[in-house]
Amino acid sequence: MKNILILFYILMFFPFGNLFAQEPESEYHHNFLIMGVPQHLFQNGIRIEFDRRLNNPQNWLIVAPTVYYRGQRGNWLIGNFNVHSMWGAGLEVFYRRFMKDRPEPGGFYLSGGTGYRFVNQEYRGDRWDIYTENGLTFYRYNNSSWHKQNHTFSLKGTAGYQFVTEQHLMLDVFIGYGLLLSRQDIPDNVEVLSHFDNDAFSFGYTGLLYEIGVRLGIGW
Amino acid sequence: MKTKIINLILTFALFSGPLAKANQPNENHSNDLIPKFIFTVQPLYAIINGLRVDTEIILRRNHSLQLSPILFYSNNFSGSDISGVYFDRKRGAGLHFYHRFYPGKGLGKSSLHISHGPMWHFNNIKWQETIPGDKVERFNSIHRIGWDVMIGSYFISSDRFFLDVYTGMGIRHSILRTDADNLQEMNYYYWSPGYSGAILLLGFRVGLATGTNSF
Repeated sequence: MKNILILFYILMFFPFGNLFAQEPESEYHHNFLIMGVPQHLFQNGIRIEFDRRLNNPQNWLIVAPTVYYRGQRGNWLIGNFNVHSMWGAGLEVFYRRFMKDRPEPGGFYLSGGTGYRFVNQEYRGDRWDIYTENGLTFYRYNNSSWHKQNHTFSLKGTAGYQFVTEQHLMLDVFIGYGLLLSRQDIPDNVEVLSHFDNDAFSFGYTGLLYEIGVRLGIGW
Repeated sequence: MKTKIINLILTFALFSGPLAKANQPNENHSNDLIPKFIFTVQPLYAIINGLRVDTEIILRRNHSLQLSPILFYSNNFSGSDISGVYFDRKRGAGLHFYHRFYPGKGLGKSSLHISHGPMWHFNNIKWQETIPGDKVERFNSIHRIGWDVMIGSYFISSDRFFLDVYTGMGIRHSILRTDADNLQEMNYYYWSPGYSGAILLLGFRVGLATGTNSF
C-alpha cells in the first residue's frame, strides 16, 4: 500500500507541465483563424467560425456557419423537453475590428454582423384536435406531434478579448447584444397551446438578447 | 525497509528516465527531421468496449492523413453499461478518416493541429428491453455516420513518445434496425451507440512516432 502511495506522490509531483513547454514566442501574425464555438452545442448546434484578416491587421471578416441536428428528445441541458427532433442550418457574417494597431493577434475587439438560420423542429405536446363524427363536431385535447419551422434573421454586436495562449492557439471571450427576428410556420394549421418561443434559447424567439460566449481555435 | 527504499529508487528510475528525456530539447526541432508514421491508441474507447488504433501518415510538414479502425466487443454485462442499457452482447467495428493540418512551420515546430473527416461505426447489440413486468431479448443493428472537426495539442519526445490531447465538435446520424419497441434506447448520451445529433469531442491518444522524413 505504501509503495502505491509513494508511486502516486512521485507521479503527482513530477513536473508534467514541462512536457507541454513551448518555444518562446516570436514576432508573428495570423491571416486565418478557425474557431469552434462550443456553447452552441447546448442548442444541438455545431458552429465553426472562419476568420479572415483583411487588408489591415485590425480588420477581420468572420464567416460563421452553424449546423443543427438532433434525432431524439432534448433534455434539461441540451435542447428542450418538448422538442423530439430537429435539424437546420444558419450562416452569420461579422466584421471585426481590433483596438490595437499592431500586426500581432490578440487583444480587445468590436464585432458587428448579421445572419439567417432555418430550423425545423418536431414537437410533442398539448394541442386541440378537431374532428367530426355523425354530424357532430368534437374537440379532443390531445398529446401528439407537430412541426415548427423557424426562419430567424439576426443582427448582433459584440465586444471581446482574444487571448493568444500559444503561437497558434487562440481563445476568445465575448459579450454583446443582439436582435432576433423570427417567423414561424406550423404546417397543417395545427392549434397548439404553446409555441415554445419564450426565451432567446428557443428557436422562433423574436426580440433582444444578450450574447456571451467563448471561442477556441487555431490561427496561422 | 531496505525493500521499500529499493522499490522507491526503481519507481523513480522507471518514471524519471523517459520523462527526463522527454523534457530535453526535441531532436526533431534541431535537425528538421520529422516522423513518417505515428501509431497511437485511444484509451477512452475502452469505456464503450472499443479498441481504437490510429495510424497517422505524415504527407508533408503541414499535412497528414489519419486512419483509425475500431473494434467493439463485449459479452454478458452484469448490469447496465455507461449508456444505461442492459447489454448482453456487443460486436462492432468502425473507421475514422481524418485530414490533419499542422499550422505555421508545421509538425515538430508547432504543437497544435486541426483535423477533420468522416467516421462510421457499426454495432450489433443484443440487449434486454424492459416491458411492464418483464425483460425481453432484443437485437439492435446500428450504423452511425458522421463528421468531426477537432483541434489538438501534441507532444513528441526525442525518443518518439507521442501524446495528443484534443477537443472538437462532430455530428452523428444513426441508422437503426431493431425488433425493440423503444427505438430511442441507445440514442441518449453522446457516447450511446445510436446517438444522432451534434456532439462534443474530448480525448487523448498516446503512442509512438516512427520513421524519418526530411522536408
